[in-house]
Amino acid sequence: MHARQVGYCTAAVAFSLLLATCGGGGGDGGGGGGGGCTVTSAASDPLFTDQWHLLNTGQAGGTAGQDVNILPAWNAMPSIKGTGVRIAVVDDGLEIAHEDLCPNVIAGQSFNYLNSGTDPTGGSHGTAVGGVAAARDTNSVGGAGAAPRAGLVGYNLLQSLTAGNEANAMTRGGAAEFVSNNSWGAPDNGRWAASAATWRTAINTGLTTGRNGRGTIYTWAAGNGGTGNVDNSNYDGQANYRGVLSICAVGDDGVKASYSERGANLWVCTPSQGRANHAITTTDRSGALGYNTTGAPPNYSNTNYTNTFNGTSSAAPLAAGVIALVLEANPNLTWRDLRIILAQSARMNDPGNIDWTVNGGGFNINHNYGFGVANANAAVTLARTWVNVGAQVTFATATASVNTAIPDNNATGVSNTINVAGSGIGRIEFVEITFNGTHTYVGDLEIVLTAPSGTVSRLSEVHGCAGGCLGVPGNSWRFGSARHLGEAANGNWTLLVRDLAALDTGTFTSWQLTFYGRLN
Amino acid sequence: MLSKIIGLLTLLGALALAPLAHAQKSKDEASTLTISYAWHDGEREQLVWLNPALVAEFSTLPENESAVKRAYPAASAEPGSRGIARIWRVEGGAAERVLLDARAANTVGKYSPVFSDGAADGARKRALPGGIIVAFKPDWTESRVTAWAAAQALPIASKLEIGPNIYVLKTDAGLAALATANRIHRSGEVVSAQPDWWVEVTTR
Repeated sequence: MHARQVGYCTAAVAFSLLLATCGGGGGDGGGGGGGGCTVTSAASDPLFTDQWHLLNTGQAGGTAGQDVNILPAWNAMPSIKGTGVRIAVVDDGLEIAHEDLCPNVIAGQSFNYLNSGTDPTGGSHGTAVGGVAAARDTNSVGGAGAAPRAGLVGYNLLQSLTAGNEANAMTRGGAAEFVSNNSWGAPDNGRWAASAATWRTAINTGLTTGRNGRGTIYTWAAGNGGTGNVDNSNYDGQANYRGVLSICAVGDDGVKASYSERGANLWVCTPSQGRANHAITTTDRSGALGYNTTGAPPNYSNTNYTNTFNGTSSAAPLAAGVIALVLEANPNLTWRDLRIILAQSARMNDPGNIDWTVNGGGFNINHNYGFGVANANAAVTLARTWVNVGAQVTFATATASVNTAIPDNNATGVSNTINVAGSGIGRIEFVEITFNGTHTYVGDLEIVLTAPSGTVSRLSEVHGCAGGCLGVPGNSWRFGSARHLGEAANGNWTLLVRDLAALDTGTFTSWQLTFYGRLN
Repeated sequence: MLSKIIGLLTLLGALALAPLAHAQKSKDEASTLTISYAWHDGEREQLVWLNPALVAEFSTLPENESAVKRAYPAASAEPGSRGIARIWRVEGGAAERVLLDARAANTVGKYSPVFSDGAADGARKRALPGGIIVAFKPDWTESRVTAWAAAQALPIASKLEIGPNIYVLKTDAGLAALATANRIHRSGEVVSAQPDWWVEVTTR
């Protein structure tokens, strides 16, 4: 439970009246939702009808049903809207006094990295992100977030992003942090951008100590460099880490947003802008600040809101909101259970896409979509009766030496096989693949992992980089793959490395696999 | 006087860091950066390349009060600037002179050379706003850490709650931070030491 801040809420009076009507509770991330309220109609959120990502009725030419199927969860008895769940928006700021956010903001728990205060107001991006996750519902203003009764805090890390601050932001909420949304990352230019050891240590800490030991859930924007396949989410050492959920984007037609990056590491997608001019309605900096500065059509006359938010930046907090609902439905889920539930309940979108296949664990998988589009109601339903999975087992293979030059512009390439035996992992939850080697232009490389089941993870694709591709950072790169979820680890795993473009060259030195999973 | 000391520290730091010469090719963009420095990401050594055309200024002051802009009016804001970090492009390898002039003009300001994660001008940028992150051995007590930091004249800025003994210590901005981190890391007294890098990111 969290104390609710109302002191800076300009809408506090109207909100209090609404609460009285509802019979108490409220947006404290701990008390709202049920309590006799029958406020699940979104009619009093005037912009809700534009929020097709929550309820797609085919507005403006979209495809009905291409949303996160959230209303059945909201309208369940009791209603599930994120009550008791805290979402941290790690971004460029969060306008905590915004009329549609402040009822959900948790008092004194946000942080400003510029002055060490508790007011992170100042970022347009973070304010829009916060609204997608947890704008207040049924308060007669704006729209609604996916978890409209969750508690919100903001950390304006991007205003002063040092390694120390980054680690702090990942663990700042400690045991109280349920979900940490991160709609940012390395530039999406196709280069391999490693994560910092301090950041990975911080994520590992959050997984073990966050949410009272059940693990903070980290949602991470998969990346916006997908147009022309310039970038791939697996080239981002944060988005491809085992401790985060890499979230991709689909449009209102259920098809991959052109900018959304592919990747073997993707977990689920959620709707964001796909087709032109049909972006996301969310909160904006109040008044003339932010994205909607004039109120000129086609944006809203009320400049506290915008209908232009987009990118995987918007997809990630929508997933964060969905996750908040799942965690309210079953607070005992560990971070690993939550991930499996999201995968198992995801909806196969764009069914005609040729990349869909079924892995050895029975999951639908797609390099464009991960396990599909997040399905809030299905995930909540699954969570209600979920039995937590057993203890995590980790198995790391020895490093296999290869030491072979990769033939330039050659379709045969170099392959090597590791036989995994005695891993103790009957069901994989994530695989890390460490490729050690050199190359003067990593955009020439196609790197493909094939599992004993025959499931293929395409880790690197031939691509150009904005401004030129560089080499392998530190001559070693860790890829991630979600695609082997539910498969057994034992057997032969093969890595094929091919250089499919002329001029630049390199060497496949060695590689190694680390499996995370459970016995059965 | 302080600016001269900082300048001397920068010079000494640069000498102590012993830059390495590198040349890498690329099809799209000539590799333009030739001077690299090592640092330690945990226990793993990494390289960064110095970009002689860029300087970083860490300030919450308005742009028109920028000491870099005053020292070099033709400086232009570089993509990647965000929040407190302003990356300025200066021409003709003038970064070193601009840094000295900016420090002289604002002795309390934080200024740093800019580095890239690759040997190309457009590679991901890093800079040194001051501070290092030190992982002490797990069996060190807090009082031992405090005493060690005091003996090194490195005030403790904060403790990171991501491990038993990981602290942010204060240093000057710029190459002095990198030199200090490397010296401590190589001393063997600690598990690891690294600069508290500012790193370029983008919203998505």
